[in-house]
Amino acid sequence: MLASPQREQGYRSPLARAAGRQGFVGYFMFAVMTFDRDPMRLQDVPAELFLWVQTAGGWAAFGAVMWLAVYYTRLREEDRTRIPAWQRTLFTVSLLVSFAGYLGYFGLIAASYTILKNPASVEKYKSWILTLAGAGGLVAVGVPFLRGLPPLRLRRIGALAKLSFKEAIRKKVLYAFSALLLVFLFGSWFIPYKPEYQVRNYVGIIYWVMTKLLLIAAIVLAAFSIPTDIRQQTMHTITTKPVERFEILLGRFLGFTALMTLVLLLMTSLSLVYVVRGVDKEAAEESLKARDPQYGELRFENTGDAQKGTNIGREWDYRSYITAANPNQEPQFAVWSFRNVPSALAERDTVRCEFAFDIFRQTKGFENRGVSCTFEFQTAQFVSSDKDGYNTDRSRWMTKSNLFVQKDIDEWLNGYRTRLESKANRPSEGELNALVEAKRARLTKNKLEAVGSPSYRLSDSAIDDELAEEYGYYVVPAKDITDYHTMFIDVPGGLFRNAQRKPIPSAAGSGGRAAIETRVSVTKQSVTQYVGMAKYDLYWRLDDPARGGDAAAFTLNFYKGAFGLWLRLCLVIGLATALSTYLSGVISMIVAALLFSGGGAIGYIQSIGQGTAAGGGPMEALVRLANRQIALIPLEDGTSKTLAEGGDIGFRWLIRRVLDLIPDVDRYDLTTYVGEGFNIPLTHLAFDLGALVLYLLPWIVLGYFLLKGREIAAPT
Amino acid sequence: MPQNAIVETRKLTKVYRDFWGRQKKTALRALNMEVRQGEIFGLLGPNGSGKTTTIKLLLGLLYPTDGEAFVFGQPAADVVKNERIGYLPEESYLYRFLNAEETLDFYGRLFDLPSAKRRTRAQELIEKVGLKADRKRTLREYSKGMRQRIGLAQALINDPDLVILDEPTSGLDPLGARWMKDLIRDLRTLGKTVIMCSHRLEDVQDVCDRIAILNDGELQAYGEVQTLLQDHRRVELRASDLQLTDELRRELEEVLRKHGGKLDTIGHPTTTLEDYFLRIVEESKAHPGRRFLPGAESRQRGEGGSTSRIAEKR
Ligand SMILES: Nc1ncnc2c1ncn2[C@@H]1O[C@H](COP(=O)(O)OP(=O)(O)OP(=O)(O)O)[C@@H](O)[C@H]1O
Ligand SMILES: [Mg+2]
Repeated sequence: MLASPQREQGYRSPLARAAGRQGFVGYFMFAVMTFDRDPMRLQDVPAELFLWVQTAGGWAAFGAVMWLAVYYTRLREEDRTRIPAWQRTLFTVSLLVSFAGYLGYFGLIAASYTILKNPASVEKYKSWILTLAGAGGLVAVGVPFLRGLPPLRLRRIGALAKLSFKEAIRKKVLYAFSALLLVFLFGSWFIPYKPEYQVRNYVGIIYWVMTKLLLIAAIVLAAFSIPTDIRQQTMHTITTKPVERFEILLGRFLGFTALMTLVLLLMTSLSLVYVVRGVDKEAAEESLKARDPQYGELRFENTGDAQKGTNIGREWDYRSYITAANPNQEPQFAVWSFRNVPSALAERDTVRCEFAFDIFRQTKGFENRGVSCTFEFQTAQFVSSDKDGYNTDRSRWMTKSNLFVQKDIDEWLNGYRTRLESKANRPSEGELNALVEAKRARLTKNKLEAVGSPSYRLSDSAIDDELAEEYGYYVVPAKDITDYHTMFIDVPGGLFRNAQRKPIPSAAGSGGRAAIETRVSVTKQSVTQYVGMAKYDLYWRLDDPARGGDAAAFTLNFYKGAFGLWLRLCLVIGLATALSTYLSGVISMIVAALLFSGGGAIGYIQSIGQGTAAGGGPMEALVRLANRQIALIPLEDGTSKTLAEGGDIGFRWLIRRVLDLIPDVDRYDLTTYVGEGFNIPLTHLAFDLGALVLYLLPWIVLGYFLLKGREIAAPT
Repeated sequence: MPQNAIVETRKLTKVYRDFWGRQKKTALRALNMEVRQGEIFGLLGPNGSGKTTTIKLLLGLLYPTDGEAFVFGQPAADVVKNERIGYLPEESYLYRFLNAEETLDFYGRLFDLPSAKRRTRAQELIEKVGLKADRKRTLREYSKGMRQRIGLAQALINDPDLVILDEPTSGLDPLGARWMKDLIRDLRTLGKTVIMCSHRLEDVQDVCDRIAILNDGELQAYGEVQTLLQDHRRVELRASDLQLTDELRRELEEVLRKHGGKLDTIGHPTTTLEDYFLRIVEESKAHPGRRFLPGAESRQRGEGGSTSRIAEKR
């Protein structure tokens, strides 16, 4: 029921999507997440809930009207009076509210086109009116539903659940799952050896087979159980006990869910062993892990568009490209800004920045030599005028061959003090002394017992660390980038300690600068080479790669990936059970399967629903047909245009309502995370669970009413 | 509704319709009847006369087209009333993959009975219906009669006040039928109310207090079995320790004539096949290993009495 706003992206062919996600076809060879849409955030939740009230409420109102028309009119007077008066009043009032809401909504749209001539002006009222109308529908349907809940007993639901469980086991349904063994036996024949994508392919194949096997089994079990009970009349014995009809629905749903959960756990565990043992060492090193990334916001500088780099006309525009500057141009930058960085990172010696870019060569370049890029890391403390000071300091201290005498130390500390004093956010005298003394302690830590004046050893990385902390800046002037591989830079922890400091007030601007920025540019040597990047191509590793524990993290992640499959299992079980309260087993199975697979192909249907498809909707197409116009030229103004567009608005509205019935299946596919070695955030799982509950709830309520109103012993 | 009426129907009508709402069959037409506390009520009628339909309406498995049905004073569609009802369907609609114990435990749970209570009741009932030896076998392996027995046990798991039995003796051997009849009478002594329908009229006559006879959905007769069956124009007399002689017959005719009547028949009564069958089976239990031998039968013809027509196997 959730038409999430993020889905409103351009359509991509299923093949391209599959390529991006699964990697069988191998579009992207590197281990990197490509997101079809941005992951959901906490601040998106209210909007999603409103959207849910609108869609679920709309369908509820529709259902209530249908109930009135089909059922209530046939109800005998003595049965009508059995519904309490307050409930009848509440039902009527909320349904009237809903009705008035929809009338107002369409009235508003009509008025905005005809009287106001400005459809945009009413945009903000539309959502409120729809929400109100939806809420009316929800109350009308929700109150009778809630009143049916108190008599429910766990013991009865449990008994029915256990029955479903036993039935599936005793009827030997589970033998079907031994088909997974085939994969274990022969799967490796089809899995390419190349280490870059070995893990991805193992995980991909395993999950693919598990998904198909489990989903089919779940859908068949759930779709046939209640219809079989009715047909074989075992239902008679049950409904003549004090069993609420809803308990039958819930019991079946929970029983099959419990069964499939067990099977899933077992299969996941076996598969995990298979993957971990099957993958060889090199592949394991690259991908058998669960990175925990911190993503930033990406913008571009000097490409003409902050959202986009240079367009090179390649595939769909998931990535944007930058190139080296010509002599008369400003250099192009891709800039990732990280607003909040966890303070725990400041305690590490180094923090790993990982990235994987796409390379597009205009000239052949040197084979096997990557494109060279400059990486600059800077904090909010850093101003670009500091860059010269940083470079002189660095070249000066780096020439000391790691050996510092007392004079060097004193000079360094003096320079440090002067710079701190000159800052706009100058620390107090006490703080200043403390900072200098702390630095002195660090610089003089490795004292060499030599004759005469003492000297101190400082490694290159220690110097970089100190400078990073001092300036809030670190640079890797030339890093070779190669296609296909995830690369990394270990950035000194000093940069993050610097980022902890209070930012400079004057330089802060209004909202404050991001805590850390990473600026990437292509070096002059690589002119005519284009480097493509997207938001999620560069990130900080929040987990410490130095600490190890990759295998454990991968294991946990593997189970988290299975959770995505579990959600889909719940989805089909709930859907099929709810449908089977009214439809026959075969029909329930087909409808549930269609809805589910509709979720996979939702992109195109949606583009019609949103009016983004070229050539418009059916009405416009009709007008074009009549006037022999091609789809790409806008229609001329006139009555036919108004009619066509007005008709299409109505049509699109209808299509969107039907689309709301289709589950957003792709969101539960977490295979990519596991295969590419990225940790699945717990919040992701929580949001997905929430979305599933919201999607299933209306279906379950529908099942409740259908089963409750059903004459069990009547022929169908 | 009278004080002691457990079930009452008012103009209860059921019309079966097809998918499009067209009428197909009027299975029950304006039925008015009531069942009283503590009685055994029999529903009779030929095949397709509406007996099962009536029962399903009382249980809420079907919804009335017209009229009303009340059980324990509540509308029949009410779920809560099922707490006090036990129902044995026409055929045992049970899960075949469960065994007897699991079956009883499952239905006990549906009554929200705690587990200790479920276990003791299940054991009691399994013993009562004589399935102790087969309690671990799945119902798939049961014979028709065994399924009927477990079906009855299932109907009694909640110690119901009203027991509704649709053809309780169908599929049972005569021994089982007798046992079932005894059990139904026991229920009456426990103060339960029983509604049953059956085609075996002798069963109904034996146990029912009151009956209703349906034909083609219409009520044809309704009342106490005794009153319905009594033939006030005739008198029956039985005597023992007498030799049937011509003299006795003449004297009897004379006495009857004096009172204005006339002798219709006089002779030895035959026992019912049921009684005979039961006796044979009892005897065979008392003498294990005995069996019928062909040929032995002709020698013993006409002997009558309880002496054996069956050769003893050495
Ligand atoms: N589900 C149904 N759909 C259509 N007609 C039905 C249905 N069930 C029963 N009937 C019809 O209703 C009438 C009464 O059927 P019912 O089952 O009540 O008879 P019965 O008295 O129990 O018969 P029997 O002695 O054979 O069990 C029959 O004519 C039958 O054809
Ligand atoms: Mg019948």
